[in-house]
Amino acid sequence: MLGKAYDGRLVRRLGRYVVPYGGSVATAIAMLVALTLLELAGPLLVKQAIDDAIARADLARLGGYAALYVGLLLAVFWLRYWQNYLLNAAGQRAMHDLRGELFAHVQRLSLSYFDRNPVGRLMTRLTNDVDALNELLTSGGLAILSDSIAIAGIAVALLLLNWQLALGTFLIIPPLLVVTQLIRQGMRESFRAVRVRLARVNGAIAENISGMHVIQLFNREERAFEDFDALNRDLLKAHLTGTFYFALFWPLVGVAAAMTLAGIVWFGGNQVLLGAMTLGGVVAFIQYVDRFFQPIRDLSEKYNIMQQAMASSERIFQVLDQRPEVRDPVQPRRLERVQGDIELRDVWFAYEPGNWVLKGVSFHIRPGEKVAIVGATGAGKTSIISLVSRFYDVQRGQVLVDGVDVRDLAQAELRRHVGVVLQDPFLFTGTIARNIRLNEPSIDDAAVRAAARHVHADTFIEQLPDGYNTPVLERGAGLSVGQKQLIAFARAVAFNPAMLLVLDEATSNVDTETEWLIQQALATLMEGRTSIVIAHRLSTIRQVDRIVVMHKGQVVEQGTHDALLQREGVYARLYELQYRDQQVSAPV
Amino acid sequence: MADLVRDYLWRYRRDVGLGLLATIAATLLGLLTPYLLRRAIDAFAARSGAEAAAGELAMLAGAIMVVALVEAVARFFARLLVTSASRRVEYDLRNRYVEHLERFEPAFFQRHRTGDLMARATNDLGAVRQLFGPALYHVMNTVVLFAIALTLMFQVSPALAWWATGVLPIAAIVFAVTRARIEQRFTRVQEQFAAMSDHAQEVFAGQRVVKAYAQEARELETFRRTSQEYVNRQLAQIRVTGLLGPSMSLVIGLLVVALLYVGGREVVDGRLSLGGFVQFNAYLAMLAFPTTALGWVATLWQQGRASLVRLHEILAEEPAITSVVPATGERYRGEIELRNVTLTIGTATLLRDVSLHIRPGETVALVGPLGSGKSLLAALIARLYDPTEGQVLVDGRDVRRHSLQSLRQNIGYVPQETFLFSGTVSDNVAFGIESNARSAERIRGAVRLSQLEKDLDQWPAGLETVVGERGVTLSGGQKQRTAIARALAKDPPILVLDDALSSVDTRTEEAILHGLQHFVASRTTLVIAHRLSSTRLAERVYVLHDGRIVEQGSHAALVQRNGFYTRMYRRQLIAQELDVAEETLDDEQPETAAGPSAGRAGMR
Repeated sequence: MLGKAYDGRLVRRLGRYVVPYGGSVATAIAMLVALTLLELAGPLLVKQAIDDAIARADLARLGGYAALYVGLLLAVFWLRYWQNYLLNAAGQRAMHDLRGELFAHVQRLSLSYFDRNPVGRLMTRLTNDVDALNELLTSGGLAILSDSIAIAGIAVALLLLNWQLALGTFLIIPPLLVVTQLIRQGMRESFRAVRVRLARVNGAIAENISGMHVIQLFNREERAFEDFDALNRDLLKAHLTGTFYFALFWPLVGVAAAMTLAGIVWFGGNQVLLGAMTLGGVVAFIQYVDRFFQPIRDLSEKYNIMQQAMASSERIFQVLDQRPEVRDPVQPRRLERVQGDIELRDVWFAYEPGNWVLKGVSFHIRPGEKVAIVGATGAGKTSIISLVSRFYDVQRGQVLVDGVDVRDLAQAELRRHVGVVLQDPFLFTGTIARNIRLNEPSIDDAAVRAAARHVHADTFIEQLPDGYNTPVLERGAGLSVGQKQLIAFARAVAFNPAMLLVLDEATSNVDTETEWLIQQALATLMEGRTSIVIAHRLSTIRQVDRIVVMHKGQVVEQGTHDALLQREGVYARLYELQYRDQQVSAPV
Repeated sequence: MADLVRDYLWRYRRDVGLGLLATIAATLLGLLTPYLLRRAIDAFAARSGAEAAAGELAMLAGAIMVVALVEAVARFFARLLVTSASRRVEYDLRNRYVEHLERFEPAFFQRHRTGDLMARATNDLGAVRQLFGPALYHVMNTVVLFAIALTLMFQVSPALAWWATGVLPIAAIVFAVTRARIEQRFTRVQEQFAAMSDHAQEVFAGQRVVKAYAQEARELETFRRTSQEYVNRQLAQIRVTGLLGPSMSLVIGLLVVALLYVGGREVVDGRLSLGGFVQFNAYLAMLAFPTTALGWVATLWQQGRASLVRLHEILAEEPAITSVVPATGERYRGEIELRNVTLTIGTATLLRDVSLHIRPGETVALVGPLGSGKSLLAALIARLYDPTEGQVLVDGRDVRRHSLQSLRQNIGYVPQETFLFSGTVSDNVAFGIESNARSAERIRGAVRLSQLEKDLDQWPAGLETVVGERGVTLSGGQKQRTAIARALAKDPPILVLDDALSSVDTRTEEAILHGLQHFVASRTTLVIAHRLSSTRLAERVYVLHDGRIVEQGSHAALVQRNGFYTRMYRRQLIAQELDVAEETLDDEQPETAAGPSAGRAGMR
């Protein structure tokens, strides 16, 4: 793909985004044709003015021609301005559609895609790459079209003025094509070299920044810089080769133009002497030929734009062609009168093939039952939550909600009934209220306040300068971890799901009062709902009906806190390891 | 303008100067063509003797060719010299930027995110290159062309030339009127672009929440709205910038009309020859393209200046940690002392009044929960940070009075987060050895000690295997052992192992510790560990909690004490029984979980 300036498949696919604005584009093209023709009429007018008015010393006619020319200029001005605007507007709108499609598509992709692709890369697709495409439409594609029209128009004008001279002029075209082809070859190669080396240089900068402490600890500053300089110098060399071709192109076209001009002077001049051509005719001819070479000169600049646009569109389509791994069924089933019954039947699950995280997990939670899942890190607790809300699909077995396999439900339908409170409460920029209701219009201000009150978040929110309208900074900076968690609880309550999955992060740096609030909130949150809690708090474990103990991807024990403690199995040891100390610090 | 010349172009004054001369030459030659054309037209307008005229025509055609060839050569050199100079300026600036970054301590890289530093090294540098390349070339070209073309126009016909100078004030007025508006709308576009990116960034980063609450459609709606506003602002900008090109063409066009009318009268009145009229017309046509292009050049210029300012923001910053004394080749005894050290980063106090003393050759372990400040304490010794209060002494001398190079030369450091550079395994192991001291035995010795040797045959080229993005991917344990080998290869009198065995399995850990016993016996060693097995090497243990040293003593004494260390030890035994890696368990410890994250980020 490196360095290709035209790819029919990509261009056709891109063309589909322009179709809705076909009207604007067609108008712009029509204006472009008119514009090109009017601009070509300019030299013709000058010719007429010379032959018809100046040569005959007719000042009245000269005034007429001048007035006509002014009219022409105004028309050109108007056409050019609107042509440019229409084209840009169409381009911007098409890119707006493409951006929307890309955004929607990325949101459809499963979480596993987000695990693999850093957000930064997705952002580049959405912003820089889409902008490069816009360039293609506004500066590249249609400019080439306009140039072609101009070249054709000029060719016709030349033939009309003097066909023998015109044919002679066209003789320059084949050698010119050969030369430009050769130069383009060189440009393409250097473009490829530049891209590879630029990626290397930027990679080295990024590596240096990330590993700077190692460089400094090992006194490698000087040598690291020498290594970087070598890469940078390589890039410079590639740039200089490219510059050579770039510098060669324009003057060479200039020589071709001059050769043509010399031919016209010699041949055309003789024609005038023989009386076969008027003086104004030769002048007009010369002006046309000059314009003939302008678009050819511009070609070298447009070539770069095309190359970049092709590379960008390739990358964008790669994302658009990515199929989501978790997909809605064609005919989703609906949950009638939600009960809140959750069952895992012999579930096997792995993030990476072969590396099983869950190995044949089965358990059943009846409507309204509260269950805590405990186990060491890596036991597979978090995966259970991800599977019930279907962020991932199981490899074997089934996850059932109210007796329906979650894969038979639309994801939106499932998640409306299954609320998730995450470990790291993610807050969006916007107000506190926006973070509780997200963008759900059905949750009004009263509901937001009620939800906050329900989880005891109202006290601290109302103490903030603007209450519920206090802005939240990026990622919730400015709020304490405990406050963020309370907001996340309020969010869950506001959406009022029948089933609740909670990752209960035990938070340090939380004062005892907030800790107490969080414990209370968690209790009210679970009230009357089927709940699965990944518990880190002893207090939470004490509140649930049943404890499921996971170890290395399997359920090893189940029962109440007291019963499990008496068994002196895995839970008893986990309790010693993780929870016992809390008895001292957090009185229950 | 003066600062641009002084700071960047002066080094290439020869190239740019020659480029300028070539531009002047090319422009002058270019202006010869209209003159030759005039001669030709006057020749056939006179129609005096077809024979003589035909001969003159052939000569003139030849002259046009020769002039064009010479002009092409001059033009080629002008473009080559100026564009190459701009590439060299880009190269210099990039080197200067990277060299500058190398001087900064970790705190700088916490203030400036990698993305931001990279944006400056790529987008902004690109814009600056445009400023010194195309923008400079066009400005040079336009100035030369205007100066020469106007001079010649005055020679042909002063009356007409006065009309032509009219283009300058008109162009100036157009730019002055539109400039503020363009700038304002450009800023509005950039702001909306940032808002759009920020929103998308947030939605992608928080995709789990968006999916959990089935908010995809609503977020898409919000995104469409921001994107629509971006389109609106773009179009608002285009409505103004779109005026520049057409109005410049209009100005030139109107000049042509004026010439047609006024010049036509002059010709009719016999004050100007027809050839002169055509020649004048040709000069005017030469001004058309550069004038129209001025709008584009102005944009490049402004963006380039803005980006240069952004680059200079970084280049103007000075590192907080620098050497005041020159490097010495001395080998340290390896005595380390912290005296009442307090370290505050931002508003968080991460170490409070810490004092400790490690004698030359002693091995000391530092344990404590995540976020207790262990890594920062170690970083202070290598002077990656300076203490806010108190003193860090190595060999009895404040580290601020050591040469950074000598200090770090004497410390073998295994950072908590392993960072290897793309290159071969042996390059990475030899990372801290001076090129002249690099030997195969030294590398092999370090590889053996760090238990990396047994992995070598797994890789295609053994020690010469390329690792990293373009090579073999190493496992966490292999990376960590490479980092250990890298520190050992330096043969340092002071060794710092910051949680250096966390990714290594228990059996390999055992082997490494066994091998190291001999190595650390003669060296001052600081071992930071989550796993208490690593502290076995140590003669003394310090327990750090919440930035303070809460317990210290030998392993045996601390286990007896029934304090913090005893609890850690007990957990350790249970964890081993459960066969769970306890550094992960530590994450779940209520009192440690979300400790000040700055401590971790400190070592990146």
